[in-house]
Amino acid sequence: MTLMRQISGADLDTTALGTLARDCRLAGVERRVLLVRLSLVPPEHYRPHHGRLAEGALEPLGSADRARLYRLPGHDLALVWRGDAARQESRVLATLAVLFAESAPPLPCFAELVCRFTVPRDAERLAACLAAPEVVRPTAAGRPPLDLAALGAIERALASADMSRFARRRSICRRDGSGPFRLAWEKRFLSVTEIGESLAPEHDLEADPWLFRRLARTLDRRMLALLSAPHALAAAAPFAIELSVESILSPAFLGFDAALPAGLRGKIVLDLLPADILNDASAFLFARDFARGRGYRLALRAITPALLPIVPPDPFGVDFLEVPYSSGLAALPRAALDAALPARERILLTGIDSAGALFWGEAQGFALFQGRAALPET
Amino acid sequence: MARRAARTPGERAALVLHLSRLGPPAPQPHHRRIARALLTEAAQRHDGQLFALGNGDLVLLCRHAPSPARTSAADDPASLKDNLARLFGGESAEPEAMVSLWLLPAQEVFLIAYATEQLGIAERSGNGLSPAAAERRGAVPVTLPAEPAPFAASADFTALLQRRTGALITRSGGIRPHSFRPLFREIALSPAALWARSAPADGTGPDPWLVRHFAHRLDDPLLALIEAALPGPGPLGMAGAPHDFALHVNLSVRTIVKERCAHLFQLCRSIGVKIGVEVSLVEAAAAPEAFEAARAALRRSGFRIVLGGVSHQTLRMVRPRSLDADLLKLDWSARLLRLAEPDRAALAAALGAIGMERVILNRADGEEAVLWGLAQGVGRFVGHHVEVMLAAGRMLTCSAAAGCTLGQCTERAASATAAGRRFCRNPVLLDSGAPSPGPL
Repeated sequence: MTLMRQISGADLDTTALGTLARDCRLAGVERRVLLVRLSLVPPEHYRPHHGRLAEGALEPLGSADRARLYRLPGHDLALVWRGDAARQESRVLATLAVLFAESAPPLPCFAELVCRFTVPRDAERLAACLAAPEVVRPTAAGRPPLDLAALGAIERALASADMSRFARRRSICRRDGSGPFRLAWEKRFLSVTEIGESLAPEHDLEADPWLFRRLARTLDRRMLALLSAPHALAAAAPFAIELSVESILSPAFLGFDAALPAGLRGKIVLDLLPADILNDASAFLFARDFARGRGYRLALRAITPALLPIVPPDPFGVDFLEVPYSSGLAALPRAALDAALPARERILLTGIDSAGALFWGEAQGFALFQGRAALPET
Repeated sequence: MARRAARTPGERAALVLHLSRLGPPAPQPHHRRIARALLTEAAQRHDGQLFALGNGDLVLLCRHAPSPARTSAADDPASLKDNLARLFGGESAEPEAMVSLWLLPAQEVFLIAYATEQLGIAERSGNGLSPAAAERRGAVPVTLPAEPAPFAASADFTALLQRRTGALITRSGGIRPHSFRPLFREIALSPAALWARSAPADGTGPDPWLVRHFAHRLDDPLLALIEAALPGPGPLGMAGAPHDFALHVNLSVRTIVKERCAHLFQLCRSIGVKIGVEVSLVEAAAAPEAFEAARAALRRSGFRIVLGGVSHQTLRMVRPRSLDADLLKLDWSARLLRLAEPDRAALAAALGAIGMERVILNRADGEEAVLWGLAQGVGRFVGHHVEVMLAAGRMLTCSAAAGCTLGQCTERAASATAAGRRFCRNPVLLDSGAPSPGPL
C-alpha cells in the first residue's frame, strides 16, 4: 500500500479529510470515497483483526490516482481517490463482502458497513456517516452528587491551591474560503474534570446543578486572579473566559480589568450561560453594558438543540453564540437551523472533533470552530 | 468641598452620579463597586478627586480643560457623563437624571445647592446601611451552611412555607372584594425563611444557588407533608375546596419525574384535587430536556405546569412560549409603569403570543399592579393585594369576624402553621377557597 500516505493519529486524518472535502467543493473537482464504518461494530465485538482485514482489503485501490487512506476515529477507514478505478473498486468491494457481508449480528449489514460517495456531491451524506458518536462523560458516572460538606472542602482546597496546574487552553479557529484554519482566539478555562479528580474524586461535581453553579463562581474568581497575576498576560493571544454575571461585577473582575494589557482590550470574550443570565436579568443587563463599555465581547455558551427554540436569534444582545455540535444538532432540518441561527458568522460551533462534524458545520455555513478537527496551522 | 472646588483656579467640572436615584432594590453593591471603579479611573485621568456621599451618590471633581494626554472624545467628562447615564439609566425611573455635570466656576451655584441639600438630608436621616455593610450583604458567603437538617416536627418545616392564593378578577367596574375569585392555593418554600434558617453567621446575603439547592433538597419532605395534609382540612388541606380550586406547588424538575411525585399525583386524582407544579424559568433554561420530561409527566397525569420567575426583562431575552407551559407567572415590577414605548409594545406582543388567559401577574402587592395587569388584559393575579382583597371578602361574610382586623385575616391566610392562625375562629372559611358571595 505504498501510495497511501500515513498520517499520525485519527484526529489529524479527520481534519485532513474535512479539508479535502471542502477543497473539492470550492474547486469543483470530484473525488471518490469508500468508507468502511467499523465504528458501527459494537465495541464489545470489535477485534483488532477487523481493522487489519479491512485495510488489507482496500489495498487494490491504492493504485488509483491520488489514492489516500484516512484512519478515522472509531476505527473507521476512508479511502479517497480521483478518477475512474472501477476495476479496483469492484475487487475491494468483493473482498470486503467476503470478509464482512456474511457476518451474523451484532455486526451491521454490509450496506451500512461499506458506503461509497462522490465528493462534493455527497458531502452532506458523508458528513452524516462520519458524525461523531455522542460524548458520554464516563468519569463521574455513578458517583454521588456534590454536597455542601464536599463543596466546602473543595473551596477550602482551592483557596490555597496552585490553580495554574488546572489551567487549560483550547483554540477557537476561523476558516474563510479555502484557506487554513486561523486562530481566532483561545478559550482559557480551569479543568473541572481534573479539579474533581484531584480534590473530590468520590463526587460528581456537576450532578447537582445549583452547587455546581456555586463552584463555577468560585472557579471564576480563581481564574480571574490567575489571569491578573503580574506578567500573566504579557504575551497572551486574544482569549475567552467563562464567567458568571456575578463574577463580571465582582472585585476580582475589576482587578483583572485593571491588569489587562492595552493590546488585549477589545479582544477578550466573556462566555456566559443562559441560566445564569436569567437568574438575574437586571444584573446581566448592567454587566453587559459595563463589559461592552470596557471593550469586552460577550458570548452565550452551551446553546443545545433543546435550548434553540427558547433562545431568540438575537438573544441578550451578545456578540457570539457557542453551539455544541451533536447528532441532535445535525439532525435538525435546515429550515429550523436557519430560523434559530440566522447569523452564522456569529456562531461558534464547539466539539468539532470529527471530519463529519466539520463537514456538517462547513456545509451549513459556519466559520468559527473549536475541536480536534479544526486546529490552527502551526 | 463644593466651595473649595469652585475656588480652585482653572476650568474644572463636577460630575455627580446619583446612585441614590436608582430604583429599589438598587443600588446594589455591584452598582457602587463599578461606579467607584469607573470614576476612580476618570479621577486619575483628569487630575480629579472622588467623594462618596452618605446617600450613595458619588461626586467627581476634576479638570475640564483639554489635556495633552487626552486621545479621544471618550476621555472627555461630558462623554463620561453620557456613558454613565447609559450604564446606570437602565435601572432608574429617570435615566436622564442619573448624572449631573456642572462646569466650574460658571455653574458653581448648582454644585453648592446640591451639596447643601445633601448635607441637610444626611443630618436629618443618618446614613442608613453603610457601604461596607451593604458590600458584605451582597458578598458570596465564604463559609458554607450545613445541608438542611431533617425536621423534627412538621411545625418546623411548615414555618418555612408560604401560602398564597391566586385569584381571577371576574368583573369589571373596580377592584372590589367580590371581583376576586380564588383560583388556586400556592404552597412554596419561602427563600427568605430558608436562608434565615440556614445562613452562615457572617452577615452575607442569600446565595441564590444555595437557596435553590436547599429548596431541591426539601422537595421530598414537602411532598410528604402535602401528601399527609391534602385530604383533610387545615392550611395545607384541600377538603371542602371548590372543585375548580387547584393546588399549586413549587418543585424542581428533577423531583417531578420521580416516583415520589407520581404518588402525590395519584392521590390528587383519587380525591379530585387539581394540581399545578411551578418550575422556575432558570431551571427550565438550565435543563430544557428535564423540563420537557417534567411537563410530559404532569400532562400525562392530567395536571398543569406553571413557569415562574419570569420578569419583563427575561420575556424579551427568551421565548417562553416555546416552553409550552400551561401558565406563566410574570413578576410585577414598578418599572412596568415606566417602560418606553418600544419596550411596552414588545412586552405586549410577548404576552399576546403566550395568551393572556395563561398569564398570572405575580407579586401583585399593590393596587397599581392589579390596575396595570387589567389594563394589559391580564386577569389572574397573585400577591399581597390579592390576599387583602380576599380577606376583605371573607370578613364581609364571616360570622366570627368581630374583633378581627383585615391585616390579621390576611396574615392568618398566608400562614401555613397552626400557630400563625390560632386566633382565627372560622378556619373553615379561611381555607375554603370559596369566592366572596358578592356585594353586600
